[in-house]
Amino acid sequence: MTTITFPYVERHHPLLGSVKRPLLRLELHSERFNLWIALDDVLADTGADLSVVPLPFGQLLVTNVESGQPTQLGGIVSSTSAFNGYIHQIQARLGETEFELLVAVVTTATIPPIFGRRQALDRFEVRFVHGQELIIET
Amino acid sequence: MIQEVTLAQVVERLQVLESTVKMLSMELALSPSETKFEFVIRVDGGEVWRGRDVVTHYPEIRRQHPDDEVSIGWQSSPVVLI
Repeated sequence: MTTITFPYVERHHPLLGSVKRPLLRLELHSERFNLWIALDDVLADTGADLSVVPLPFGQLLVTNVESGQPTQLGGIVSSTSAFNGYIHQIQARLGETEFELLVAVVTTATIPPIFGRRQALDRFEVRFVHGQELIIET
Repeated sequence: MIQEVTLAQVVERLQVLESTVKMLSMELALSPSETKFEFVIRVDGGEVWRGRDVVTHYPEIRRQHPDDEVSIGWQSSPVVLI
């Protein structure tokens, strides 16, 4: 078993002063270019049913985004404004651990890349430690 | 007319003015605006490019740095994610 630690990343916010987020690095295999693409700033989100990437990332990963399973994606605040997405099965790598990952390519670039629960966080033992560190046992 | 205004009244008016400006500032800060976002490409951890057309620039940068670690990040203007 390997332990990977991601320190929370601090971002400035005009009202809160700053916010710290559990962001991780994930590698996804691009069927389009036949190479691994490293993604930084991927939000570990236990509230997300699925992992999500914004459209431009999806365009780098697959030749035809619309060949995936069509779905609607909504969040806590977006029950009235869901986004369309296409679900793809993509080879992923977290540290040295390789696995199949369901990824929804959302048809907008305004949604951050998200590492959700299904086939993702649920696969590992994950700890969010005092708002400082994200620790994943792979 | 200035002689008819007491110091206490001046202080009170300044306090009202101050609280009005605070309220206006808060309303401006909370008003919805379009989230600005961009992609960042890093080579060996150092930022080499920032912008929106990552689909064009990532393959180019990857070709220029075949032996280096090239990664992509996503960043937005200040927003609270929920």
